[in-house]
Formats: sequence, structure tokens, C-alpha cells
Amino acid sequence: MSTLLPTLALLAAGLGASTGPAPQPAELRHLAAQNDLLAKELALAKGKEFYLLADPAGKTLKLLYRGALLQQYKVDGIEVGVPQVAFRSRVEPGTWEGRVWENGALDPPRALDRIEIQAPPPTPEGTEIPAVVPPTPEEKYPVPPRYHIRFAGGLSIEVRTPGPEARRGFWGRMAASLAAWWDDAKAAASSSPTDTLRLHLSMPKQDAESLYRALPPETKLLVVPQTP
Amino acid sequence: MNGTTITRTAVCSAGSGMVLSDWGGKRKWVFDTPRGMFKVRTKISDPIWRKPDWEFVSEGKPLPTNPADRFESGTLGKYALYLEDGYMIHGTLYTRLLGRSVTHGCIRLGPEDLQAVWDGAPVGTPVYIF
Repeated sequence: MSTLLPTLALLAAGLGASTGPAPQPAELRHLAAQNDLLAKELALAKGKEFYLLADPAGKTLKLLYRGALLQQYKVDGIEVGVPQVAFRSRVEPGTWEGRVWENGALDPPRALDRIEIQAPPPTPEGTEIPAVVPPTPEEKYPVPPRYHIRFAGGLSIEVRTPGPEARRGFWGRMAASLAAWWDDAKAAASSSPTDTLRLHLSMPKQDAESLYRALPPETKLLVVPQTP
Repeated sequence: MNGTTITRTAVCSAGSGMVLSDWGGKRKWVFDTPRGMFKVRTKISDPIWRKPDWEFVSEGKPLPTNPADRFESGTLGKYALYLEDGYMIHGTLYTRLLGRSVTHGCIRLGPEDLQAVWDGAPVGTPVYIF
């Protein structure tokens, strides 16, 4: 009996330690949301597609493959734009973050101008083919100052670089802004493409060009919720 | 990379994206570098290149009947790191073409960068191409 009492006392102390204050519902929701996000990241890391991880709060955009960070793009600013129809948003707020968007594609697409060569007829001496120095990627793939990565389901990332208008005066910037607005208005009036939500990314020119030239086809996207 | 830290950057050459058809139009080769994750399978110093059929076809030469005519040394530089599916990271004689899409799918590096990769990437090292 004398040895049993200390054991019971220790057990009681252990039980007491494990029964702290119950987690608040908000904390539970936060942990559940974090766990959900990690589960999605894990699923992406196990997949065979390249994926982007956008963190509006941290102002980062990362390109990953199987969980490995391949490239981190510097983002100067991220804005979220929700096109409205008759003053109503096309998507419910909060349903686009923490969701995996698929089949990302560049708009305008990166031209893949394959050169097809028919081999000359074989001769014992061979045929002297004139050597052609191909262009560099920078020469081959000009990057527009404003482009989109559109995902199935309606999310679109609009990437803007500080173009020549940044160096212009007030009226030059105003003209560029109006031109961009007019392009958006035309896109909104047409039936395609149907963006339901846009992430506007302002990136340094070098990063924006790198993203345009390197984005793999059918990339996925996960937007980290700002308040998981 | 070491973890998420970039330890070295290098200019390389990758696949040209060109499509080559033989004279009869029966065979076709696409010179792309595949994207994805690969591993260094083997490392060879002073590699000898076994010329594939497309090398002869592209030069308008008949395919050799003597297998020895396919082998050439020096073309791949000092080292070759073999990845899956016959693709390699190797050196080049044409360093002025680094940074351009000129290869038949392999990745070419300049001599100093190739040495750094050779020293730092043991067999089994993952290689991500994107």
C-alpha cells in the first residue's frame, strides 16, 4: 500500500498535466485550416506536376516540383481583384484561397516555334550543313509587359513588370493605366476568357521574364490563405 | 542548391526543340530536354560519345556498318553525368553556344561549371529540370 500511494499520486499529477485549458474553437479552426493546407501541399508534393505557391501575405511566389523549391520569384506587390457582374462578385469571398487551381497556362502563350528539318540524302562524304547560331531565350521569347497565367476554374494571375511607363511622366502613366483598363473592360465584355478572380502581381522585370520563359505547362497553384 | 540555398548558378545549353526527319521520312527525332526530376545514375570522366543514328542522319551520312565508327572522344568534355533515359550533363567544345538552345536533349556546361557539378553531385543526386 505504501508503494502504491506514490504511484497513484504520480498518475494523478500526469492526468492533471494533460487536462489543461480546452482549446478555443477559433484555435481549433485555425489548426484545422493549417492542417488542411499542409495536406494540400503534401498532395502537390507527391504529384507529378509543377506547382506554384503564392503567399499574398509574404509577397512570395515559388515554383516547386515534388516539394523541392526550384525558383522563388520576388514580388513587389500582390493585389486581389474580383471582377463584379451587376455589383456582385463572381466568386464567393474566401473560397479561392487554400484551393488547388489546375492547368495553369500562359496568356499570351509562349510560342514554341519548332523547326523541322528534313535530313539530306545520305552520301559517303556526308553533306555540309551550314551552322546556324540559334537565338538566346531572351531573343527567342519576348516577354509582354503584362501577361496572365490562367487556371481552370477562373483564377488568373496577372503579372506586371515596371515597364517604360514607370519612367514616363504623369500623363504617360495615365495613358498606360487607361490602356490597361480598356483591355480589362474588353476582356470582361467578352465571353472568353472568364476570369472570376485575379491576382495582380507586380514583379521586377527579371523575375517576371524568368517566370514567363520557364513556366512549365499545366502548372498547378495553391494560394496560401492570409488568415488560415 | 544546398537545401533552399543556391550555391552556384551557371549558364547551360539545353534541347533545341528541333524536329529532324530522315531522308525517307520514316524516322523522326525531337530534340527536347525533358522537364522533371532525375537522378545522377553514373559519372564518367573522359567520356566517349557513342553517336546515335540521328547524328549520321543529320549530316547526310549513311549509318555506319562498323560499330567502331560510332565512337568519338573529346566531344563531351571532361566529364559526363548520366541521368535517366540517355540524357547527360556533359561539357562541350562549343562554349560560345552556352546559353542557347542547341543540344539534342543533353545539358551542356562550361568546363568550370562542369567541374563544380562533378565535384558536388555524387551518384544519386537529384537533378530538377524546369
